[in-house]
This record gives sequence, structure tokens and C-alpha cells, in this order.
Amino acid sequence: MNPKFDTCDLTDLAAAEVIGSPASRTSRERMPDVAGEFFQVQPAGAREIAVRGVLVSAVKASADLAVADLKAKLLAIQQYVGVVADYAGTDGRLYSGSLLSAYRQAGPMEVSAVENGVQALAHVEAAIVAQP
Amino acid sequence: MAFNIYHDPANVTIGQTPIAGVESIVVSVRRQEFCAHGDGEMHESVARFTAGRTSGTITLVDPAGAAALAGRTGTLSFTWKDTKAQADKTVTIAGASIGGYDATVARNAASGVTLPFIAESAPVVADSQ
Repeated sequence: MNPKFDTCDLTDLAAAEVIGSPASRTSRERMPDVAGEFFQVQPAGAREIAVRGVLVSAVKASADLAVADLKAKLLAIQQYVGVVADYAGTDGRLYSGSLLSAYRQAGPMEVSAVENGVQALAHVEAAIVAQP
Repeated sequence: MAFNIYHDPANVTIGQTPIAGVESIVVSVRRQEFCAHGDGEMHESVARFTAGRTSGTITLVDPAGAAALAGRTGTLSFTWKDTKAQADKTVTIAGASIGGYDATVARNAASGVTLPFIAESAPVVADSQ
């Protein structure tokens, strides 16, 4: 399923996630005459989830119109960068209180002929900072 | 279903310069692939062709003439003759560039040379006038 940030689909097709590790938050201390270290383990920090997929335009009559539509769609999603909201992953898992820290095009916009017109496509990448 | 067969490429020119002694012309059009798959997909769910690339080779018999053509640019044009004497075709490829040549001159054999080309447009095939 398409990953969703708040009410916004981050991709249209071929969505995939790479789920990062929760950040370890630990205080470490060394004593002069004692071998090793002491750890004070604290609650885990956030994890980063990298999302990639394909964003597509509506079917348009020309390549220029399709690319313009896709750029508008991309820019609309980028307005969520810096926003804290719920993130639903490709498996439907919900990560509450997540930050969309980046959303970018990952390659040139390509144009493909489809039935009844032309569609623009681009690989996209998003970075989510989620609670552990 | 009706079909046509063509032979004998003729009237070969690039940028108004005639190319003599042409034996054959290969025209290739290849579109780039845009493919992707997502989590849990056993097969690519995105498989599209996008921008095309036109390329090919012109094979002729005259290495000296080919040397003079290397580096030429312009519209590449030639005709295909219909083997059934019906509608001959004119092929026009705008924005073509000849990138060099491979010449073969051998003992007791006719010389041969191939000229590779690429182009900034798709070939247009139309009935000859």
C-alpha cells in the first residue's frame, strides 16, 4: 500500500521502506582504575524511515502538461516537510507523531505514453523521523 | 493482413550532402526503461518505456567517401524501394550526426565501411512523392 503522511500519499506506485534503527541514548562513564565502561541506558530516540517510490501525474494530452501536473503534485507534497503528523507505512503500520524531514525527486521526470494520453513519472524519496 | 517488403536504400543524404555507394542502412529506435518495484512485490509494478533514442549505421563501399562524411550533421534522408512496386517510402531523421566510421579494405575483396549515426528525433516514414 502507498505510504501516507497525514492525509497525503507520499507515492503512487512501487512504494518501499527502509526502516532505520531507533537511536540509542546512553550515558557512558569510565572510572580510572576500573576496566570497561558504565552505561546508563535511557529511552530510545527517534528512528528514521526512508521511503522511496514512484510519483505519477494525471494522464494528460501532452508531455508538457503531464510534467507540469507532476511538478505541482510534488511541490504540494513538499509542503508537508517540517510537519509533525501520523505516518502510515507500506504495511499500514501507524507511526504517530512523525516528522516528514525531507521529500525529494530522485531522478529526472520521465514521460511515458499511456492509453488516452501521456503520463509523467519520477522516482521520489522521503525521510520520516518516527518515534521508536 | 497486408504487408510490405522494401529493399535498395537510395537517395541517401545528410544535411543535403549525398552519400554514394550505400549498401544498407540500419535504423534503431530504443526507448529507455523506467521500472520499479515496491515492498512485497514479486514483480515490477512499474514498467514503462519513456524517452526514445534513434541510432543506426549506414554501410557503404567507399572508405574515402566515408572519411569525408564522418562528423557530418543534419537531416538524414533516404528511400526504401517497395519490392512489389507499390508505394516507396522516404525515411527522414532530423538532427542526425555521423560519429565516425569503420572501414575495411581487404585483399581481393571489395572495400566496405560502416558509419554509425545517432539522431535527436524519431524517424519519420512517409510515402515517397
